[in-house]
Amino acid sequence: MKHLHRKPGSSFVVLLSALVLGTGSPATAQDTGGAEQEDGAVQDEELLRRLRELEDRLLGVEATAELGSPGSTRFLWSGYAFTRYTDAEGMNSSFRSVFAPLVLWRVDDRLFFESEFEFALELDDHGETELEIEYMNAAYIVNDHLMVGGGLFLTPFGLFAERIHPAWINKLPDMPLSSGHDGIVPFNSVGVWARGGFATGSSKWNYSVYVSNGPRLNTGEDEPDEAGVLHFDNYEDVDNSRAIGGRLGYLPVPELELGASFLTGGVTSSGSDVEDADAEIFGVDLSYNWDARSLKGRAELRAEWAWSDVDNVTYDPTGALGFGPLTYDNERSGGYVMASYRPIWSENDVLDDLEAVFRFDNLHRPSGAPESFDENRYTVGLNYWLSPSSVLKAAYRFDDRDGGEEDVDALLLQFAVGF
Amino acid sequence: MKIQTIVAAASPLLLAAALALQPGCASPEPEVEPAQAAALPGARLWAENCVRCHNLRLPDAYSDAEWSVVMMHMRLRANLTGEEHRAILEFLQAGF
Repeated sequence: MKHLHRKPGSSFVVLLSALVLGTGSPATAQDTGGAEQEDGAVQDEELLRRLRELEDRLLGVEATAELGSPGSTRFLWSGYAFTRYTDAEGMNSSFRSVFAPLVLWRVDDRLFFESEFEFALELDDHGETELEIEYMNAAYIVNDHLMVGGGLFLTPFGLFAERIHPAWINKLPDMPLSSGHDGIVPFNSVGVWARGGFATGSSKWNYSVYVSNGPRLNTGEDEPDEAGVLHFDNYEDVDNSRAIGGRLGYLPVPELELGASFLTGGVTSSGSDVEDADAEIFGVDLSYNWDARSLKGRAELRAEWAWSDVDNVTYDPTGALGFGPLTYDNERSGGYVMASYRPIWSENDVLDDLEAVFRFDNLHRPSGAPESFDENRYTVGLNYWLSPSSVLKAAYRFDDRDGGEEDVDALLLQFAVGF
Repeated sequence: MKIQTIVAAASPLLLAAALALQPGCASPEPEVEPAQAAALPGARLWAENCVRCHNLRLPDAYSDAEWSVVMMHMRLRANLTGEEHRAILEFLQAGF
């Protein structure tokens, strides 16, 4: 704890002031009346008192400034929040609010800790709050091209989870179909990783590799409809073997990034009735930004596609769960293509902040699976940017399901703010 | 339901029109011309890398100490090299 203390020079200032004031001003020295001398002495005392007061305040300001600049440790509370309204066919329309604080801690030039929490209201009538940890991991910078770390981290598979998922960055109110609970790509993982970037001439590469506990195969014991679906929100190593994965990104020019991702590992829980199975997931991604006066604005194209292959196994082999024995070719695929345009060079204050967005989503489910319908979504949106990190979004999602499944169109409105 | 859907879908246009009548709703865009950005390595890297994911945050959005934390976070997210990290941080801490 820092202690306030008078600097040696400050006492000299006080003494000098006292001497100057004590010898009296020329006007005071010339006074001949006793009352005037008394007045002068009172004024001198008042001035001295004020000088001491100023000196104390100056010392306080200096101490505060010192406390405000501690060593290398820096802490930042950041994050985002949003409120979303969803009106989907066949469901009750509803508001949902989420607060997602980021806790970031820079220990020194090499050591860093990051975390994101998500507080959301439970969608029931109990008024409870659910808390999820999106990620919390520590990182160490080894050199200019290598960082290592571990914990719960955003899985570097494609771009959406790692870079686009925050509500003030995602240009639509919902996630792509290939992400999320019923999706085919991971969102976060528990394990260790290494990552970095390097240049080759005028182009650039970036890489991420990781070892994690891996996803878990839903064998239908709890949710028969999801037998064969990979659950990525699984943080336990279910089969005593690790999953490995990674992504390689290539930027031939700054505006364009091409990426390829993979994840492979065992996914069957030890002791399950279902035989051991491995999963392999491959993905590609593309991101292109074009900021040009000829367009009078900024255009963006983003696409991600993934293919998932889980070994063929027999679900509910004894029929005890009521839907087996069930075996099918468990290959799934899906992704999205998104385009957006914002006329930032329109020279109109309102048009500058409007942004049109379109996204096509697809998810292919295997025939023979409990849920085997393919699904396409066409979402059109219009955003209004209140600031670089706060936005009003309005979107309409046209849903198209085959196999006799009911389409679920939806209106989506969202206000998101990043801070 | 269909009429309600049409009205609801038209509401963002109404909202946009209402906002158009309000003064001061525009968000400031960074006023760094491409030529200016190219002359400053940190500025150029800031403009090229940050916009790949999100709108540009102006240098005065955070203090120098806060930028030092934010840039560590961004280095992880974007897999920036050490050189890019330092150049962008220097630009952000220097301001325009």
